[in-house]
Amino acid sequence: MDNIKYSIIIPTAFDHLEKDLKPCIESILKYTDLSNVEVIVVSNGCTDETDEYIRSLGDPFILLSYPNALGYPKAVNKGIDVARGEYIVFLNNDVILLEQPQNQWLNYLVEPFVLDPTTGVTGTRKNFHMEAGRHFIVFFCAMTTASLAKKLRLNEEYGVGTCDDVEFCVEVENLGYKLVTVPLNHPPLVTQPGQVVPTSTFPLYHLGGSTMYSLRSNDYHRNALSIAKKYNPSFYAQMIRPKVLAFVPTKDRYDSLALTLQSIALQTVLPDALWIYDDGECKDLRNDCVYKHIFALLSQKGIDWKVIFGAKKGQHYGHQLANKSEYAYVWRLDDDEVAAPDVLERLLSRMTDNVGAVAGSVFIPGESQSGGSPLLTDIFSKPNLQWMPDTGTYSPEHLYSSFLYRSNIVDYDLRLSPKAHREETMFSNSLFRAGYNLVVDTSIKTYHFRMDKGGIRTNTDSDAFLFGNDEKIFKEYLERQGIKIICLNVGLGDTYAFLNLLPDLQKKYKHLVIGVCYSEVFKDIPNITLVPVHTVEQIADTNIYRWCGERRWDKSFVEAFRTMLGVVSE
Amino acid sequence: MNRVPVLIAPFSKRLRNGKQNAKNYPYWDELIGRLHNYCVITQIGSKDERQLVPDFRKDLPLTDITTLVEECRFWISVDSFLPHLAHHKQKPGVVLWGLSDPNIFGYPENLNLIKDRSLLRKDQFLFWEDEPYNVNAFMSAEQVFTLIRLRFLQEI
Repeated sequence: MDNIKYSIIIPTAFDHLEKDLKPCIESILKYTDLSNVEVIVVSNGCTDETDEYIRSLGDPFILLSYPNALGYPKAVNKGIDVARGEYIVFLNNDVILLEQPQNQWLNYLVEPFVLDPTTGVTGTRKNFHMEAGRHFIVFFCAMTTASLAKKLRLNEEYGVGTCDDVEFCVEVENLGYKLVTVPLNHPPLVTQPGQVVPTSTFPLYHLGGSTMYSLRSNDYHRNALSIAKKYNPSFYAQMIRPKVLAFVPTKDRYDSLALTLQSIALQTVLPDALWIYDDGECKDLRNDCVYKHIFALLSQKGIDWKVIFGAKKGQHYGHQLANKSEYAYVWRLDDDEVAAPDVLERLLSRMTDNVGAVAGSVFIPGESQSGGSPLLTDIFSKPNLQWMPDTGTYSPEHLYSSFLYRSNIVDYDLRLSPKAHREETMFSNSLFRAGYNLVVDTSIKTYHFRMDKGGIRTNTDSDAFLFGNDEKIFKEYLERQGIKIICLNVGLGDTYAFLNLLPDLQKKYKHLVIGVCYSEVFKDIPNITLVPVHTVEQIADTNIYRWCGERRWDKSFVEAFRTMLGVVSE
Repeated sequence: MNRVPVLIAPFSKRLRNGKQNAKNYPYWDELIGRLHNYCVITQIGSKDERQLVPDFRKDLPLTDITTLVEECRFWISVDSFLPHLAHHKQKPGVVLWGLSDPNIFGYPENLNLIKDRSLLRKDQFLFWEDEPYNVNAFMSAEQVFTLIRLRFLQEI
């Protein structure tokens, strides 16, 4: 046959003859003038009588037969390679032409090419592809010129399929051609991001399922990643970014919690999910006049949020839930903290391979401090670095309150009381001990709207006992790191007596933190941190007089100190 | 005769209830009277303590006290901070014990002068505010002077 105008390429695989291909071809036979048409059926991996059926049709049906499934783009390219027409039509095997004047569908498809030589692809539906960031004509029924088809072909790297039509259309546009929906005299069916509009006036019915359902979701995800990487780098960066869970524990602070949640919803880079761990009143806030809007905002922003009611055992239980989730990173904020809009974006930018956690400054507006220390041993005597906004970037040994961290590396200590005192210190320092760097960039700002109620400041009769319990656990944690806390609430003579065992203490422990009344006694002694007695009184139960009195001690006072502190004289 | 430099810390820490500290030696004046021909005596203490000798240095910082300890031939003290500081500086001296136990709070290199162990208080770790003063718990000045001469003033 000479003067072929249209080459219709129909790829078909497996066992779609009776359900899809035969109805498709019968509709083509009914509504198409085949005098200047060739129909190229690319049979690949067919397990039914597809080949026999196509052969039985004779001209202008051309069978290309392959024993194994080739995948959509490769099968179509086989057809492109042999096509002789001026225009190439991509047609799915699950498309049925509806009642129409003969050739109307082909006339609709070719009309834009005739009117405007800059037309590149025509089709019945134009969708927006989120990952590519571009519109494309869906190839279940589309037409292009043979020259463009043979020049560009479909990208066979997309394997089974999906995104091949997207890439073809992007490349066509990049060459300066247009994508046009047909019929021309009808309102264009163009979708906006997130919206799907069904085909309406084109005389065609597309079943859709038989091709799409054979694809696995990871095929699509792989192809989507690939196309985003090629054409939409900023979206690609977001796709490959590890998933982030924002976690906010709350207790009796529904007033400030609303501000915290709003600040999360208005971030320049959004977390993938948000968990609110209510360990207090456990109220259903969905009908609250403020919270219903906040929850709606979170949903609109695409943040997968939920509220978890705690068992009043403390926020660390909630933190551990978040830590053990499937999210790669957890961004923790307290329920009285408000993050500047760029906090998560900037924290993420600092999360390189060797970093375990990143923090910014967390401070009460107008009340920044100075003199902070990165060392764990200074926790009793110096402010935290995070309380000093805009003072630089640091590599500390522990973090405070709000930070972004890698999940599933270390655990929160669930032995702590419901006060959860020191929970973030031990957790972040554990990350540090596990070999990860901690980073504090104080130009990244979270504001602490310090509340005088709620949270761990909810006063109970057992406060002293609970804090004492947590300090004991913290003391044991420090001793495992080789840091010994000693409280020398004694007179000047007894402080000098203590000096006798200092050399042996320094052999046993990497660092000593000593609460003293007479710091001048320890002048120029290295590897010790001196702090005021009251800062370690609760954590270090080293009252030598009570200890001696309980045991009716009758040996030397220095020996009493040695025995109490577990230091043997050498 | 060359007199030797001696440092004295006559009084223990002032009690919170204002009472006389039971660790304080009652016979300082007599002891100093016996020593002054042999010793140039410097007293250290706080400004509200009684002056016993002309050279009374009040409220010195620890660095200055440490220097005086290092420079003296020996020192004489009650059970206070000075024996502990001196032990740290490896400088022996004399401790005038009363009710507190030198086996617990003392150092063997010092001349620990105790009258009678039966007079020691039963619980050595109670607050001193509750301890009544017992003048009879201390060695006499004559005895103290004799023993000091034997240990530290033999060449004089």
